[in-house]
Amino acid sequence: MNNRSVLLDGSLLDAVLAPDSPRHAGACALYSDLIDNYVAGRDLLFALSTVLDRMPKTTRHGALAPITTLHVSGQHRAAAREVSGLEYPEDALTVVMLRRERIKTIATASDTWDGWDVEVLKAAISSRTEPPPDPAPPAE
Amino acid sequence: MSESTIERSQAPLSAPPQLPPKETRRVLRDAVPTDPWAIVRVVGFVVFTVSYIWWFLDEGLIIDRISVAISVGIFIAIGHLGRPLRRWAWLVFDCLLYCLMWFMYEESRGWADRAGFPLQVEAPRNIDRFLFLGTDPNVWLQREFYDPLHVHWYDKIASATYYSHFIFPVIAIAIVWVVSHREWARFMKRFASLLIVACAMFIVVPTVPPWMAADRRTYHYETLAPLARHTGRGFRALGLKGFVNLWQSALDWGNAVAAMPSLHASFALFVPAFFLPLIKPIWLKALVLTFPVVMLTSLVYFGEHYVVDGLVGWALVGLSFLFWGWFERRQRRVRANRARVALGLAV
Repeated sequence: MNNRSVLLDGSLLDAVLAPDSPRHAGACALYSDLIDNYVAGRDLLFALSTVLDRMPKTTRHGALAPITTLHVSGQHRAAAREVSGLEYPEDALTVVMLRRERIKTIATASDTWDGWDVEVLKAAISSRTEPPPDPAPPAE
Repeated sequence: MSESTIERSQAPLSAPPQLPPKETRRVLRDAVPTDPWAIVRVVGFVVFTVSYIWWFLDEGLIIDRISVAISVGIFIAIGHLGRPLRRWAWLVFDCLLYCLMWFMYEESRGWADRAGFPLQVEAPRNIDRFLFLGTDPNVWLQREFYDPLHVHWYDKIASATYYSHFIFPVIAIAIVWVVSHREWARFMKRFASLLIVACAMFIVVPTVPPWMAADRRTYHYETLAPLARHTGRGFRALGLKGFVNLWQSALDWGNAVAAMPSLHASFALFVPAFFLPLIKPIWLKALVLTFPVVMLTSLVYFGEHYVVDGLVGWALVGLSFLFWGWFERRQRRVRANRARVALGLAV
């Protein structure tokens, strides 16, 4: 009952499910932390139905099993059309659902939410493809 | 995957994340158009609350199940005004389950009569005597505090506490229903489990309440010293008319030998226990938890229940919370493991 509600946006879920994405490792690390919180009963995880509906059923019941669907209806879409200043319609819909469902935390793999008055959990940039740092020379 | 998110998930992230100062950030409340139905719902709740209080003071507390169902139905319908159709569909489904639960409860009273399990007359009294070192708590409380000629302040508190049973859980259910469907499901799983086990016990362990065990005119059990059944006296003294008469007629439909477990005691613990995580100060938690204690003391004082009936009721509440807490944790673990395996994360 005291859990934090976290909305996982499309950019995060897409990065989690795309191993070739440069953000995959960071997104998976963030998602893994969120799953730990979910298991401990600290976080409730949500995603929009418009995002989840485009995922295969096996993914929905597998990789995205801990996520609860936030159903988007016609009235939410109508409200989203009146939200200005966002590049993509899905972001406007996200804003509407955050407000209507009183969710104050968003987990993302993009910079979209930096300018918003919400708690943003952002996937760290992957350092997986970078070469490991040179070992320090042994001390003499 | 939509074009927009594919584009974004391929683009490099600006790092490190430097959030703009709080005062320059966009606020959701300003960005999203106000839901016009929100105002309608608020006005509806205000009208409902005023009407309910007026009805309570003028006609008495709404207590029979049909009237309660109608009043709760109106409250919930107000909470759903302007909501998407899917929410209304859930509401209809929830209502059917809710009605089924109470229908089973009512039916179980008939089953209890037909099943023919032996009546428990002395066993609960003996357990109480064991717990209280040979004293009958019902008899002791009435001997020390009951005054047939005068209604004391504690009679009013005890009576009001007793009758709160008929609105307290229902109001909690209605509010949770309107506020969060998820929390409502959590609430009802625990509540329905408690009710089902209680009904099973009413059938298998039909228990004579203390007032009946002490009765010398109608039932002739006479296993306790004479007790007064003065449950409604304090409430009448508070000037709340119409309430007791309605309750008396409701009693006629009830199963009189359903003392074990005490649902009054169970519900009085159930509702505070469910909302306890929302309460932060320890002193307030402790204060809230005195309510079930006051309820059980009132039940014993009025001769409605033995102490053991209330203790068993509390134990069932505890078991229901423990079971569903365990089940929900297990469900979360299973889903999390499924996700970790699918993504190749460490389990």
